[in-house]
Amino acid sequence: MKFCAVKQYFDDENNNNITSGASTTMIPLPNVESHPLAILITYCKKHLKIKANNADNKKETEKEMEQYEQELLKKVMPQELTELILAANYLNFKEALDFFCRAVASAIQNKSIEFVRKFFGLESDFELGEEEKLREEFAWSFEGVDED
Amino acid sequence: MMDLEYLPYDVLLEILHRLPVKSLIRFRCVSKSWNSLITSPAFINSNLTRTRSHSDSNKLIVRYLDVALRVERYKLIHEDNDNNVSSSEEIQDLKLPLRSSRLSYFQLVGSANGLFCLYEGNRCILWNPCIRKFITLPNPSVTAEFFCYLAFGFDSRTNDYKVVRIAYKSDTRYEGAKPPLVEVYSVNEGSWRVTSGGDSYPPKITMSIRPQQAASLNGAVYFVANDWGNAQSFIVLSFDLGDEVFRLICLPYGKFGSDDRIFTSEFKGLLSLICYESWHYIYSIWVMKEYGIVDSWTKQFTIDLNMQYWKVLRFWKNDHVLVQKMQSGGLMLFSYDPESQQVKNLGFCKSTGCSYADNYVENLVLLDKPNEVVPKEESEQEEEVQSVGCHICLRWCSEIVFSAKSAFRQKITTIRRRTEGCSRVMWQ
Repeated sequence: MKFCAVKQYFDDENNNNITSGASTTMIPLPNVESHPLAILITYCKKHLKIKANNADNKKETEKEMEQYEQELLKKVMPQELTELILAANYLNFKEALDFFCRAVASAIQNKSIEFVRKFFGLESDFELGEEEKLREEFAWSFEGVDED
Repeated sequence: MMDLEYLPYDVLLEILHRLPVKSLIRFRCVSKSWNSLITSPAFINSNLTRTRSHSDSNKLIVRYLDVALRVERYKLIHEDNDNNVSSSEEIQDLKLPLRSSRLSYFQLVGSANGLFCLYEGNRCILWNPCIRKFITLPNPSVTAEFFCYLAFGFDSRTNDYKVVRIAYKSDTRYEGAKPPLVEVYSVNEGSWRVTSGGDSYPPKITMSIRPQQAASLNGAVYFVANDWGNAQSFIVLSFDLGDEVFRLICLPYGKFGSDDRIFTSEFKGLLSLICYESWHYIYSIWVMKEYGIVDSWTKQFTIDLNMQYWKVLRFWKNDHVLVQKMQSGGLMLFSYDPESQQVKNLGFCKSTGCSYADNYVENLVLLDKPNEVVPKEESEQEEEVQSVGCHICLRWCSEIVFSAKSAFRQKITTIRRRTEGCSRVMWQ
């Protein structure tokens, strides 16, 4: 089961000797919105399907998965990515967490400081002049950055 | 947009660990907490572990000596999945921001994972071209009365880089000679430490007459040495960076002549010897298949390229051989595939002298060390060089250095080198 947090729930239930009818049990997930959850479920199902189709061919699985991931990224807004990451993290869904973290890293890697701050809802807390000093020290790392 | 409060620390780490070094350096400016996170030794450490485990051996960092005197440059060469070779923009002709105080270049001690160790006289520096930062090591405490040898290596057990300094007190060819004193500098500790390594130094062993960079692999450094207790035959001397003990590794009997030139190297994670057989103008590659078993030394393959002035540098892409060829104006780099015996051009370096290459891994090592300011007189000095090539032997015969520091061009020095076997020197 990919959603490890959910799996944990089932394991706990079994340990408590409660017969759980999987089809009727409602598992509370207070920290996950329905929209990212839906995407994660789709992702998970797709992943399992691709894996089943290419049972012994790992490379083919990876290739198909990559194609699906590219398609998925086109439909997802960058801002939604952070919600998806939080959801995947809460559910302890490792593959999705890895994929969405890579997607965020890819989205921000060539962006400016201001963009990154806005993306994560951060503000500069540097003392006066501190930030300028840092920028000067590593001026080369600011070359070739995307325009905002 | 989202609130930082809801972004768990370990999730932020997952994102940061997937960013290239250039972005990480820039994002130090995002906030104070990001700055202290990115420059923390723990982050630098785990970042290194991750990039090492994900790295392929398709990236090389090449160090070459620019035609302009006293400037050394670095560039990245990599091959993508479609076998296209390109030179990265990130590290393209990157200049070392220091000049040697002598009219020469820094000597290269060695490198590991793209971190370089350079020295001149008593100054030893560590340079990370990836983050464009260097540190100068403090002075070692041991003085070498006779001769001093340096080596540089990486110990994956502690994720630490170490500089080994072997200070000889006497000529170790002879019985009863005083063993050398061994000092080790650790990047993690930030200081030199005298070790008891000398106690395990085997008798009647000297470093090879033409010392090359010691190979660094599996937590030890390996030197080619001469065994004076055995007719001055070649032998490999190793120094383990963990237990700090010297060990000898014998070579297969009768396979190496005194005219051969041997270098230690790494081949697919194994100790290897690159041997230039001077009588046949070919290279033979030996690999120690089972560590410590002399009988496991295997002649993996030979390389005969039927061209002049070429040299094997190292291995990359698993079993491909990196070769440099000297030609007019600089060096050409090639990749040789021993299976297909195909040679592929990797590009040209406008270099004087030999180049050096290492497998490249993106890393943040030295980022947490204090910054060093390059002394003004070193950085401001502009030098213009007119170099003259000799068309007979295709080597650089003479170099004239001008100082453009003041408004007047002053010819500050002239260096003339005459290459062996060439009687002609041209002036421009």
